[in-house]
Amino acid sequence: MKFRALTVAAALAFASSLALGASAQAATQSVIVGKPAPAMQFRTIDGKTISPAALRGHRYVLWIMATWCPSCTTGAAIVAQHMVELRARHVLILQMEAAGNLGYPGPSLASIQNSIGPAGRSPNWYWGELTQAQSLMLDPSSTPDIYYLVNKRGTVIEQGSAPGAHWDQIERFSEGR
Amino acid sequence: MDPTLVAVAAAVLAAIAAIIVDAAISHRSFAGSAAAAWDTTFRSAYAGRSLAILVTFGSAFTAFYLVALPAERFGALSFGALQFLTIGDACAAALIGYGAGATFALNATARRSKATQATLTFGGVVAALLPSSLCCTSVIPSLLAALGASAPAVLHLTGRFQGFFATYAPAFIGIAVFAVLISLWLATINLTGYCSTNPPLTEESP
Repeated sequence: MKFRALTVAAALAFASSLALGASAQAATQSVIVGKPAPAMQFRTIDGKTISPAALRGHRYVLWIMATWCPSCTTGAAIVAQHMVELRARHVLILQMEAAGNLGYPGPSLASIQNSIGPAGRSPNWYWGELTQAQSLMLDPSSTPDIYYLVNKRGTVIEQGSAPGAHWDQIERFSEGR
Repeated sequence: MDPTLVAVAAAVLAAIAAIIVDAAISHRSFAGSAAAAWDTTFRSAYAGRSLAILVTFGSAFTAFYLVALPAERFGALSFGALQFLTIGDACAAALIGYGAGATFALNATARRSKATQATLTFGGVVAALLPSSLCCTSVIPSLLAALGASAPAVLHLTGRFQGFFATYAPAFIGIAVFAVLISLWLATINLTGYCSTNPPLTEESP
């Protein structure tokens, strides 16, 4: 009898923790496909800021990553291979390190930028760091290597993870399809 | 230098050292035990079945790990990950895959599988999967959220877990290789021990 009561209590506690967890996620989920991307000022690693006005009228990939994430660094190398056509199609890449590198140390973002060669310094490729508030808003589940595709009207039209593994989706987006 | 290859080489050396020490302590001949287990498994009346187990499980596991190990770097468990396969990944996949297949074949021949052996093989197979499944996916954030962690806590904790698995992925793969090789040795002991105290295995044996 006592065991059954304990089991019921444990089940209730787990169920409530699920609900609390879900509500915690929902409270910060503010990027919705089909809705406008949040208007944010992004800080780049070379000290500049990218204002919402600067992004207006551009298609862009907003990519949130951590520098210890292997698929993120691979993805950066794959983006570098396609940088010429991305630039020709006027597609911007906003590669943003999540706040505090998601709580685990890794190489600096600048070292990743340098490691991929001249393409990493292409003028349509912005490297920056998110603030804590921006991270919570753009990546509430703290999964590294997620991205949003934003069209010229500023609407988030798709989201995904690991650009390197889903390059076909980004290719279609960059071609305007 | 490929860190996975270094970890696999270290794991193989550590496993060989552990097996030699164990053989010396238990007064077994490593070569004699291995030869006896090989003969009983692959040159007895059960050779066909043993070979089928080895080839089927070994090839299936190896093929799976050839995709799963580089998946962490690619970002998805798909054939596209093969373009990021390293020599270390390939060695680890073959050792884990065919090591597990051989362990199953030996244990099937001995017809008795001790819990510890099964656990060790299983542990090795799972350990190899930890980095690719727990890093850079939504598994850990979802678990933390399900456990009631608030969004800022998820933000902070998830990176610690995922970053840890990503950083030490080669070590996990090395541990997996070590566990599978030790499992193979335990299965060898199991089989040769069985043979030393029981009648020879034939099709007629019960």
